[in-house]
Amino acid sequence: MSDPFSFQLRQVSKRFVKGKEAITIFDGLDLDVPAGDFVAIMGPSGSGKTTLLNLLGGIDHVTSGQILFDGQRVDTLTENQLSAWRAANIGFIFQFYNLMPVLTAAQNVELPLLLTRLGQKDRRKNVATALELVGLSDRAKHYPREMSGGQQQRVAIARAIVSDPQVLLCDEPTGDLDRTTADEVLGILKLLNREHGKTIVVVTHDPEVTRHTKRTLHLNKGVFEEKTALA
Amino acid sequence: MNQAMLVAKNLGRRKLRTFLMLVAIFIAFFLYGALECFNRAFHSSENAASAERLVTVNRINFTMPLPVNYAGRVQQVPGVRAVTYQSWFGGYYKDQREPLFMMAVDPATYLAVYPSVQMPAEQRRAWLANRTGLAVGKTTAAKYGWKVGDRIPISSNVYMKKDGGRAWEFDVSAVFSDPDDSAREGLVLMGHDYFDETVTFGRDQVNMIVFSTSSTKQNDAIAKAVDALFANSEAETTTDTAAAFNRAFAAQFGNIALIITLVVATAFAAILMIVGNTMVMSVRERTREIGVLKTLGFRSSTILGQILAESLLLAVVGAVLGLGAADGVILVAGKFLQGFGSNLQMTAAVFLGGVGWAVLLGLVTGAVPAWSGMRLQIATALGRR
Repeated sequence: MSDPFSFQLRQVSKRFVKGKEAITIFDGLDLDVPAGDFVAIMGPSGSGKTTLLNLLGGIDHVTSGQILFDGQRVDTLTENQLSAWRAANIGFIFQFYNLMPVLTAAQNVELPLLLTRLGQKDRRKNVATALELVGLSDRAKHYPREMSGGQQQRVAIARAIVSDPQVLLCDEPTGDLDRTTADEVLGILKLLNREHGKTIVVVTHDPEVTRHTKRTLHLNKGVFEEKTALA
Repeated sequence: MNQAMLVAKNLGRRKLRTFLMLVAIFIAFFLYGALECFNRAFHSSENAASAERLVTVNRINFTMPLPVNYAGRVQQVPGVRAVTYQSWFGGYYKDQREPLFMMAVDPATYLAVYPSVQMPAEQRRAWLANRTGLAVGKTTAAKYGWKVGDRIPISSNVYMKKDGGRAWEFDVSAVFSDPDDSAREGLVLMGHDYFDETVTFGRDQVNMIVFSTSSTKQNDAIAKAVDALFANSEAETTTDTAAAFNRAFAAQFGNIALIITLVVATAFAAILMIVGNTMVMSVRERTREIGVLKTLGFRSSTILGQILAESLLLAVVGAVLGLGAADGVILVAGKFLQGFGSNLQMTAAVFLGGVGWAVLLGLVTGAVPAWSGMRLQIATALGRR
């Protein structure tokens, strides 16, 4: 049986050294993200939102403390182990989509599957399913430059979910989109949370995001100020 | 899609840049291929020369003659097996600008000293018997379309006939091959008797005496004995191995190997800097994409491999195209260059050597960007720190 928590942060500290100055981002931060959660993390610039997302995704390292995923520590994993862990469990969605310009939508979505043992036929099937889920089946052969921002973000979502990870980490996923398109993207994330049970952590400045999430955490100077109850 | 396709897609993202890098590599390997083929052709006869053959020439230089009777005296030196002599004829066929590598030789002794020269028995008999007979190497025969039985006029840039003419009539008696020394297949051999009878000067004189010995271990002693034989004479001699003679002959044209090495090294150094710098720029432009790949779960070693594969693919494709073009040029040049034309070819050794250099070039030019890509921190690459 899977642990009820996707993520558990225990006494996490994160410090940077910039020149001669030591900057503390977190000092003893605790956080529980239950499996199936859809949580928005809001806060002013410099509050530590992105750093938190980096730590959750294993693309940055804690200075001290523990990060547990499904009850297992991930802060002690090596770089190669983290790569494999991310490939298996985490999907990333970025503000600026970060698609490969030389690849078509389908090829972009297929990228994470190159790290699996799936054959070409199965990979194509999974790519088609992911693109269908985000409503872009007809854009499979289009390059990013041939698509709108909203379509590119939907391709990025398809890429994030194609290998069926348990968690989606989203960094300002609507930050570069107009309201209507942003709502479409948030609708897809909501669907992935409710229908497919994905645990979703969204870092955002956009208060509209909170209308779609189950709860919102406010981060200020590395500390959670208040928590809304689970919806 | 697969990772190889990803490598190809990355190379194709800036087509003009990739094309220009390919052109740079193409030029370097074209130069390498062409010059190395010339170098090898130039030194092939040196390599093919039997260690058992010694060459005696005039001590002043090999263009100065020696009396033909020296050959008989050389034969008397202990350890000498077979002796022959030859003179440069300076012949050409129709076009003075296309000289033949033509020697006047004594057919019987020539074949004894060069046993690797092969021709059918009846042609051999015909050449030995016919005063105006000509033995033509198969490369030259093919080039001019000469066949046994043809009667052909050949003129000399050096000698005149006693009757005032410059054209000698010859009968093609034999077409020969030499499996041990394909450069020899570019030669044209006339009888020394006919030469002596018809020339206005240089009678009973030869340019070199060539002889085989019974043991290479005795070569030094035999060479000294031969030169001692003619010491203080009007035509003192110097004797060395055929390989050394060929080497000295080649050295007249300068240190070809050094020139080639310098040209190729300069081209390679320039290409190394150009391609290396371009690869660094190319990878730097993709910093964010590399970060994304790592975020998706691509290992650092995979990123390293991809970037190295890009530079390797570029280098090898450019090199193969360059070597292929060099092969074409060499093929055409070989038809115009009598003498070592038959040896002027893109050998497997030159081609594989070129590919080897391309692999090295690819690894060196890809090393820095690949290492940078591998070491790149995701958070830094994504500008998230």
